[in-house]
Amino acid sequence: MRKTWIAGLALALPLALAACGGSTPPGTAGAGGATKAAGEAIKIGSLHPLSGSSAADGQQMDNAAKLAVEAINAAGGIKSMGGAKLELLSADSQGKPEVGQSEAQRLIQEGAVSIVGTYQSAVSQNVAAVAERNKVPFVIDVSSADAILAQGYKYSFRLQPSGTVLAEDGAQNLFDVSKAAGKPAKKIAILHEQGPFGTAIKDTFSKKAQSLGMTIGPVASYDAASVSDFTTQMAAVKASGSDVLMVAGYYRDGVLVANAVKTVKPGVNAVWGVANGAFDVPTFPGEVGAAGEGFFDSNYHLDGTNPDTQALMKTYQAKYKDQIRTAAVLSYDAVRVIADSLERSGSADPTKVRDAIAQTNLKSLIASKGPITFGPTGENEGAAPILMQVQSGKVVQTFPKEFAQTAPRYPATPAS
Amino acid sequence: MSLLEVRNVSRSFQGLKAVDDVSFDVKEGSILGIIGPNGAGKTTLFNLVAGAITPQAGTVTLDGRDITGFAPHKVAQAGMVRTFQLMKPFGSVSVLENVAVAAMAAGTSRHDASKAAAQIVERVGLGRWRDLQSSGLPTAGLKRLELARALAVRPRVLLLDEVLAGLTPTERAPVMELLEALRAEDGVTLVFVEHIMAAVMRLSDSVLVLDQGRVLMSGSPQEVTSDPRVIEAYLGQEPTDVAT
Amino acid sequence: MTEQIPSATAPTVAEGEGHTSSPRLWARVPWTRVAIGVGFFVVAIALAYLRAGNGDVVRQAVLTGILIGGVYGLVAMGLTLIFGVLDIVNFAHGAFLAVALYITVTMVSRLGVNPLVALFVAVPVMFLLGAGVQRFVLAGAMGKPLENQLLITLGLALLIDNVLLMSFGPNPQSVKLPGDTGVQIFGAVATVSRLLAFGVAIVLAALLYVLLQRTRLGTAIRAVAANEAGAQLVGIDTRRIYMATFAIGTACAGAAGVLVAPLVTIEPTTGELFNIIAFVVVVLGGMGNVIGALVGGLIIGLTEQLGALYFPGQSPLLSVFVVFVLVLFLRPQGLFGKAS
Repeated sequence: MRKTWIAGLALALPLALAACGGSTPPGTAGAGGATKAAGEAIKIGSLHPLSGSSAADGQQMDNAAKLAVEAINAAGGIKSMGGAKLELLSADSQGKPEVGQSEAQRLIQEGAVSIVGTYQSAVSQNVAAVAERNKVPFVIDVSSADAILAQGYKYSFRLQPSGTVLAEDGAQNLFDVSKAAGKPAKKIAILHEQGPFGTAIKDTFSKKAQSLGMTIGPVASYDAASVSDFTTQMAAVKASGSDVLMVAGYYRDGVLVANAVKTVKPGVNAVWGVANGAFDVPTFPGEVGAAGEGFFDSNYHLDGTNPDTQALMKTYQAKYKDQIRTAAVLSYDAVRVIADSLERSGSADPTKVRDAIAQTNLKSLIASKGPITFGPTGENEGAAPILMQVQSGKVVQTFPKEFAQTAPRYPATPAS
Repeated sequence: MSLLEVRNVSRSFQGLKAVDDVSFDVKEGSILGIIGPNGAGKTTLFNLVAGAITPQAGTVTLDGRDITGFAPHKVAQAGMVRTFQLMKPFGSVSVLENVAVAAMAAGTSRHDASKAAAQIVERVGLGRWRDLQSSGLPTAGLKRLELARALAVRPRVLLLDEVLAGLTPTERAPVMELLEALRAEDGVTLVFVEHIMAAVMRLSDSVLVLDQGRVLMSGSPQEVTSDPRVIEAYLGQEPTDVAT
Repeated sequence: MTEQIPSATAPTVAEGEGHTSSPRLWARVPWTRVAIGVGFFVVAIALAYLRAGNGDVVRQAVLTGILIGGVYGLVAMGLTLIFGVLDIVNFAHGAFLAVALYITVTMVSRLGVNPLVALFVAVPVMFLLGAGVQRFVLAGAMGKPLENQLLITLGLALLIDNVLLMSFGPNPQSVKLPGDTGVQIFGAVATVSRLLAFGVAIVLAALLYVLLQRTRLGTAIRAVAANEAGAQLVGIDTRRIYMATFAIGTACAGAAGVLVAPLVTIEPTTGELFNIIAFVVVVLGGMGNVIGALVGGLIIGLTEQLGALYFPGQSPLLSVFVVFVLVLFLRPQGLFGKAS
């Protein structure tokens, strides 16, 4: 009896850890006011995973939001509101939906006129509901799940391209690049994390790829939280004779994929990440060495050819002694969008701000096919992924031409 | 000087005096039986001497050394070992290993321990079952195993807690013979708590009678069993094997 | 108090019967169960071959599964030892492993040594840390309700996670074993780092087994696990044994941490991954049984890899779950556990 109980408890360990959660948020606790007097700071909420397994990105995103607020204040604040300054209220979602929900509630009670966040789709889902109920705009910097904006919410907007756009463009990019290189991709093996993110990417990518005349197979999935090795899956890819391996997953597993590719040498023409959390990250080539050479990632990415983005990268490096990553640049953009909307609405009333956000037309620091503009469901119509590749130990932008720092190298059979 | 000297030990639980100012001596090589009606405090006294409970007053001295309040394992290391009514074998290992563990804990080297254990196991009559998993032993066997384990620690004094309880009359005789042999051949000093009068009569050199936590009297078995105060204390109790 | 002793022993013999083998203090290996287990795997591998249609792939799965399983076993051995003796489900086990990861990272980045050298620092440090934690944090909770101990180890895990986060930051780190190439073994391939991890894990597991079976300390540990009061009766200082056992268990986690350091991305939460697997292995192998933990680790490792071949579209965790439930259904006390 006791043993079964303990076994059940052991398997529910993640849930138990969640239940034990509850943090004191590191952010400033505001006076909880409702109306803004002239000269009083306008509060913006920044809700990200500052602890837990995504803390690396979460902390960067919060830092970038702080930088954006500082930059806007230094440039004179919101001029249409008498030079009113912005104030950032930081909060820790811990990566958990319930915590994100209660923190969002708290930020609104403390007077936030908008919220920026959150990184995990499950958290953003809850926060979107809170935002809708309280009629406070929520600008999503990073969260890929299509479902969040499929519920007719008027108060939620998303900057990153949706999962569907990422997956379809990923397939299209593969088709275009491989054809241009004279070796059109024929059979694509897929390795994806088993959660909603990886599965959605796999489904949409497969459909699009098949509509372009490519075949899919074999497909393998894994649990990102517990996987420790991919040599078996790589052996299966090798035996299948596929010519491309598509990978949809997170950072830790992406590193393991590279190691397994190096060990087993599946002999594919390319390893093709779609919205991959590892292959376009600056620390990836350093961590896996030659194993990651030539890896592609079709993903939204900070625009390294944009001088404003380069300036932000320098500022971030100087202040935080760390290289800024794409997610954080999105958070920076999100604050810019809110500031720009405040400027246009001339009012801190959340509903008026929301209406102004819906009319946004702003150049992005992220590589995109157009300026930031929001469609009827709140999706950013200018958002699109670009194609990155690891070349000579660095992640470079290769496609489309407007953002290319160098040409893509295809085929890019992983290093032996 | 006696080997074991218990002086004025007392212990109360929630205001009730379970053991009240009890003193006795045990000479080396002798056997002391402790008897008394139910609720007289025998088990508590036993636990106080053995270190399972700390006395609130009084001292326990073993071979001139004050061991009052010592933790059970320290009492064992000092040379006084007890057995339990509810036996506590190391269930999943063999009889031999049970005894060997005890020998090793007492300081014998690993190699010598198995030899010493084998001797003791034969001595207590468990030789036939020495490789049997101890959880497979019947009650009589477990009693002997407890004894064997206690002996492996090479005690000066052996405290036996109702060692004959749960045994049929046929099973009791060999155990009593064994106890006598232990005293005669190995010079082990024994203190035992017992309800079975025949055993007390046969084995003890002297008897301590407890009633309501206090010493009623002490003396030879004959003196004690013919004393009217003792008989009266037992009246109103269910007769417990007074005659066999 | 559990009646388990952390070792393998012979099944119960009927009353009155006995063996006449010479007095040995060895525990006996249950050969029938081992044979059944091996037979099960031969069948499983044959099925995987049919499913995958390719010998190379199956060979790879078996090799990887065994190599990973050995390390799982080492982690689980420490955890099961702690449970068998102290009756504590140690939720902080994975966190201790993470501490060892960071010790390795620090040593490699500051001193530039081969990661394996960190074993000589991490194992003693983790041993002392475990002893200290047991003595000062857990000892007070012994004998109190089980829930108290669980909450304390849970709280400890969160504390360690956050201390690591504050000290080392959330950015992922890594260490590399110099000269880490792929090695061909029976038509499959494995990296040197994974082979070394397996090899050292097996050696440490063997050392632990010898410690438990052949030394005085090990015998005392097994006695306390079997019957605490009985152990006290024969003069064993149970408090000292608790401290030593927890220290040994934590040292196992520490050793495993050093061994896997070149194989994982190192973040403060990396330990949690091993926590979950270790618990599954411990329950599967029989709580408190050290051999069960090693065998269970190998089984889980193999199941994970073969499962990827059986159900390629599904996560290998599904196969692990299936095997776990199956074993517990047929034998609720775990493969090597004692029926309660």
